[in-house]
Amino acid sequence: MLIEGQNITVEKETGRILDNVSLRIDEKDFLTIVGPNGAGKTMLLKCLVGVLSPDSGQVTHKPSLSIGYMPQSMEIDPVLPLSVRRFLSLNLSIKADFLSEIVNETDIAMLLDRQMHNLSGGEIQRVMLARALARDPDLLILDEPAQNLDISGQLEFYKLLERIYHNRQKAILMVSHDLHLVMASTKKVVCLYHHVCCSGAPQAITRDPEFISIFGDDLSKMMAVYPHEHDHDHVTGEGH
Amino acid sequence: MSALIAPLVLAVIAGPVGCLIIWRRMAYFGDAIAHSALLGVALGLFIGFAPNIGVALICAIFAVLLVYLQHRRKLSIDTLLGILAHGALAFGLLLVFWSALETGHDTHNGANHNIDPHTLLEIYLLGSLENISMNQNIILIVGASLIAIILKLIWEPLILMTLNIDLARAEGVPTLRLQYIMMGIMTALVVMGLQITGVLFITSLLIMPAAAARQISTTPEKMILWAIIFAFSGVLTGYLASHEAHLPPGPSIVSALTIIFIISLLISVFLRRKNPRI
Repeated sequence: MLIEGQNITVEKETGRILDNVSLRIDEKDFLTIVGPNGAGKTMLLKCLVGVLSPDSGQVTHKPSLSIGYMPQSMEIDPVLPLSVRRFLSLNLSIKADFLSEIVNETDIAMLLDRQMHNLSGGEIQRVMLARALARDPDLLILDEPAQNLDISGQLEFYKLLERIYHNRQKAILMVSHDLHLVMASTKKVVCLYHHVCCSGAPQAITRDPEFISIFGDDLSKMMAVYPHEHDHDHVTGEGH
Repeated sequence: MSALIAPLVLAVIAGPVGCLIIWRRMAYFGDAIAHSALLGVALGLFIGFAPNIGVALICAIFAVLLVYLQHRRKLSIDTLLGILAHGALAFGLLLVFWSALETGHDTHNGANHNIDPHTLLEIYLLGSLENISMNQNIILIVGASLIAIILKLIWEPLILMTLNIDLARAEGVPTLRLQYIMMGIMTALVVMGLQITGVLFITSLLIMPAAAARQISTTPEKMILWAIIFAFSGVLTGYLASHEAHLPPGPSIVSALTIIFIISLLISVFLRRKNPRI
């Protein structure tokens, strides 16, 4: 077990954002949280990472768990002059060859001397992913990592993510809107709407009546016929 | 010569602290704390202890209050800061006049007994050139060194937190503690600088060199170096000019800093033409 959240509840003036949500991430999991806007997905990630403490419920981390966290939409304030190179090693001691490995993996070598506030949305996402990887994490937690990208950028990003998953054999927990793109690579989907509506393998979940009631019949039919071409074998996970 | 020690020490430490203030968008906070300082002076005079202690006390209370209020969101933070700052200023001004009237009648009350309230206000609002004692110089140097050491220790997490607070928190940075430390440093600096630039100009001494430095810097450290250089030159010219022409030091220093800022702006336009990536 890497992280276990038990009965996480978060209240806001507008009502319950999270209602008794329990979620467990094991080693080598690839888990995607889907759900409509305002369903509490970001809040749940923040609770699991430890950025927020829930009003009730419990979050347990594996001892000395290292998390690479990528927050939702980084806005870089131009008042702070900071190069990408400096950002990657900020508050972090990282060996030069490990850094260059990550830089190559995320394809940001030509960005290193650019200023953070001059990056485009897609460039920021890759740099943020590199920063998350720089901590050599046991678990990547990504909050809508592809949201600022165009469709081909999204495809690229998810391919990159899948490559990282297979090369490193580390766990990934991700919030995403891009159901159709995520279905192919993720091993497990959790559908969240303030509470966990349903969860399971991506192919099975699209037939779940709760899923259909939230996302509509059309989407689930679309998902059902979406071809899942796997040109590789997934490592069989255990402990679901 | 020794009259220059305090202003120049202040200028050097204003460099890094000023940069942090503009990165973390705390200029309003600095202003509110500075304005509350006058209330501290007045309370000190009124009750009869050293104004510096009154200032430190009131500023510390305001700083804690401000961090606390940051998390309440019925009124926006700039509204709250405006109320606190000018409320404190108004009460402070009234109290200065009142205590001046009181002490005017009371001849037992030591050195302050015949200070005209207008002179007193001029000193606290606009700064004074009055000789600063060796003891005060030493306190200033020790204080500035302490601030420099603390900043050095928390520098990297502080920058990370400035960039993105969620990311910093996720990576284990104690963000709330750092916020309080920053407030403490800013309060200390306001108290230290009050006598030299006055209530109205202390924030400008902090943010103007940093803002000028931003125009021509590509790393946080370069920005700090330039901020120190600008603060140093601005304070030196302003202070000397005010000495020669018998003008209050606060406005003289800030006028010099304003000219420096305008020059840096022009330089940055020129640089950007050559290299648009800065």
